[in-house]
Amino acid sequence: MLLRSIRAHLLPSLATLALAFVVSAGAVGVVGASRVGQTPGAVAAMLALYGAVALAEQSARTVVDRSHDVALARLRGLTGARLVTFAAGPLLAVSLVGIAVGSVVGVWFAGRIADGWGIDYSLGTREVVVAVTILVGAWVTIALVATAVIQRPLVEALSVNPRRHATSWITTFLELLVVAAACLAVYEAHRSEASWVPTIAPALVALAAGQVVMWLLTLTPRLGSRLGLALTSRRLRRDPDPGSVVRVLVAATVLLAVTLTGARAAAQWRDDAGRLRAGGPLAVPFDAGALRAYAAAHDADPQGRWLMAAVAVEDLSPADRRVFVDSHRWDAVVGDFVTSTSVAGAGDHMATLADQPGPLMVHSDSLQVGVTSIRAGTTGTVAVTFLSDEGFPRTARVHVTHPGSATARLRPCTVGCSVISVDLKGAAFDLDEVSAGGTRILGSTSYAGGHTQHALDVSQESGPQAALTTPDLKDSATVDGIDGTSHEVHVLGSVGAVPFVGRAGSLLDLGRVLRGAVGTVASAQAVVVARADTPAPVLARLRKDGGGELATYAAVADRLDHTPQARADSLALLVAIGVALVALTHLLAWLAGQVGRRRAEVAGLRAAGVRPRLVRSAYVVEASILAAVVLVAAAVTAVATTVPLLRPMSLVGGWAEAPILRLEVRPLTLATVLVGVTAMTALLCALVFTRFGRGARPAALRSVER
Amino acid sequence: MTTVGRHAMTPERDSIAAQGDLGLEDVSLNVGGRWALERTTLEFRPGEVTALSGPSGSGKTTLLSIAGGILKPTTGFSTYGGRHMWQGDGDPRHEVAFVLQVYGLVPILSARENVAIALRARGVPPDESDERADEELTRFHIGDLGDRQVEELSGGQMQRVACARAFAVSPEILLADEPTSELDEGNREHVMDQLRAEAARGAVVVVATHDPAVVEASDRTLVLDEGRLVPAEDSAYASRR
Repeated sequence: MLLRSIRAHLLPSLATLALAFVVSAGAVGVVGASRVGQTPGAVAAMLALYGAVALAEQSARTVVDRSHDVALARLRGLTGARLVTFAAGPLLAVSLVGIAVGSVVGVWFAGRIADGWGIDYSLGTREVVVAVTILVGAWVTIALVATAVIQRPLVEALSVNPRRHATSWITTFLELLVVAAACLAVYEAHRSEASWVPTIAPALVALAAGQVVMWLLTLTPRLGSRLGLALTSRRLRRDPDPGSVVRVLVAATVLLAVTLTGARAAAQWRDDAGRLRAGGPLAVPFDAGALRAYAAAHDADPQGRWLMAAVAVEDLSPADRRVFVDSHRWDAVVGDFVTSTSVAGAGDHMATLADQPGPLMVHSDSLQVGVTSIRAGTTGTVAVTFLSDEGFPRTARVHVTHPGSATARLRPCTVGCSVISVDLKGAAFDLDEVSAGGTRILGSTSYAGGHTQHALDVSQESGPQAALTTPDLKDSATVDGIDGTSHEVHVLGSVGAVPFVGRAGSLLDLGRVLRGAVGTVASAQAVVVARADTPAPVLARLRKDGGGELATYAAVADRLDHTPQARADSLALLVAIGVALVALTHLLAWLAGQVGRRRAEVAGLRAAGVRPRLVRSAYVVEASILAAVVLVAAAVTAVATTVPLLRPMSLVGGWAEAPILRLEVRPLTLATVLVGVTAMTALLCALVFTRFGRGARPAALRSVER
Repeated sequence: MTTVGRHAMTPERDSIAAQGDLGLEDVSLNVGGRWALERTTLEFRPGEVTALSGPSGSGKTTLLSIAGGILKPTTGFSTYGGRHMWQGDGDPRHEVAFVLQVYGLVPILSARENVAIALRARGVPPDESDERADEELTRFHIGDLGDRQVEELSGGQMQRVACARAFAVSPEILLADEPTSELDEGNREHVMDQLRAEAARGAVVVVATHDPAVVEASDRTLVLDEGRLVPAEDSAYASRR
């Protein structure tokens, strides 16, 4: 008898089975995966809550459709528990099968997700509790509806023209409860420390929005100029059935919009944060300090096509967080790497940053001094102070005693040294040049003797250094250099974040700050950033010049993708897919029921003289209006609630100084969801409503004699 | 509700009479191997109320449906005014109005809207349709129920709305299937009076009925038994009544 009853109402039974399957598979799978992935399991509650409403509606509709069968059973003498079993049995069986199979699939699903995260999975208590809770919830709903149907007067249940019943007080109470719970959840989400409140708030708000729309539909004015408008306005006003489907679709659309917007924002943040943290596609660290990195990049890549030196100082104080980059090479090496990040705007100012003097670099192991004149028997000294490629200041002295060339060793200067100053001491002499390895350090100079003459001091360059800062530091007047000395700065503009150090800090030119620097502070991290297509010999040369183990952006991105927040995003996307499937199943189940109901309506209209073509047009208008209601209601709700709902959620993590998560309504994401749901609604409704065949002819109304 | 074509006019008696009889020529209908109607030839004349009686399942509704052009016979045809009633899609011609046994009303529309929709389908403007709908509902003593949704009405009230819808369009052919089954004696007599008034206007009026009072009030009675016309005096059904 059970199977016969299920077969007699096959489509609604299949719909209930599908809903139960999707909800339980999704909820159990997400709870299981979140348990092992250490993410908030409450994200599954979104699907469970939404699915519970859809399942309850579908079950209620199915039981009510059987009210005639139940009435006949009562006439045959069935009472008590046997009658309840008859009324509810098929649905209880179908939901049990759906939830059981769905739970098993959900467990399998959780295992596959855990595999993807590289975590071992085994069945836990939580998954069992979730499955049992869904089953109990479904059975209680079905039993309550079945009891209500059983208690209907027999004469009404057996009537050829059954009347619609007023909403029960239980239903009204539950509807009000959803709206109240949504308001409370939004309020608490911004106050509560508990992570589950902000997670379930979107589901409650979405359901509440759908509920409010359903209430508002009862106020639809009676429009009468066209058949389509007339039928639609009256149906929406008087029949709660389409309103309940609109409720579910609006809720699904809002949930999808909020979830996908949050996921998109988090994904963009991870991309932004990953690129900023990595600095470039490849990065080679240099323990020997800033100058070594700078020199090595120029040595291995003289044209500046692939390599760019950078130094980051991560201080606790935002004002002291600073990054120095070789601005000449920014566009070529990282220009396209950072176009989607918070530092993209820096490219507009790189030409100005680069238009500053750089270090006076020499690559040689000896210093040459050309003396034009000196009194015989006297000795003069040329002292060249430089920053060696080991990162320490050193002084090379050339003693001159006669006209001609004099030399001294310069060490260590293998990769490159930066000249800081040239001092002249001792007896008077004239120079025509001081050079090292072809680089002219000082030109023709006369020294009168006696006091030390500071012939060259690059640290005495006048004028402030150009800088870019994050908005909170735009009024900075000074920034510490690479060696900790304070420099006056001229802020050119703002950037959203600074590579390596994050959302607060300053960005300056490395060459300019190296000019005259006497070392690198201990907290500085020097790297050479490389393009992804850097030739292997260039990278090998970098390694030879003192570079360490190559780090990649991919590794940084992978670390961010394996944070609990990133895993929670993946689960939220799965929940969104589950919500979409539930909405589609619910809509299809409702449409399947509409085929029979509309047949009688169409036959009646045709018997009255309304032509089929006109009825089809009217139903297309009705489908369009239903879709438009979903579109407008969901759009208004999504625009109003997306940011407030997402703000209290912990969507991102893994880097404390990361750029601020940009939460905003994303037009493309919202439009995609809205167009997708409303197009699906309009097309499916129009297709089903207009597919009335021979069964919708006026002759079908001869049913009493047939 | 969209207007269709020109405005409908109440046909004059002479113009209806000029169309001739509503005729069935050797009509049969086979449903699942069983003959629901077998080789039936007859005419329904304008200006007459013809009662179709017979036991349940005898083919009364089937005959009405074929006569009204909403059911295609297996063999034979029905005609009116020289044209076939069956138009190929199961929709009745606009000259035909049905009072269906299961009423065929649209549940989400009000009583007035159900009546008006039949007028609007025949090209009557919206305001005039509503006005005439109210008149017809009043004619059947349910003028105060115009705004009520059909599914809120009793069986008898719905039946009278169905009558009002059929009568409102002043049809040339009025086919009523058990139009008094849910009515009390007073309302039943009133409906019969209205049927006779339609016949007096020149319409072809055919009523399928179990009700002896309706049979009694009709101008002519045809008896069906197991899909065949039988003489009334030979019908066990007629003799039991």
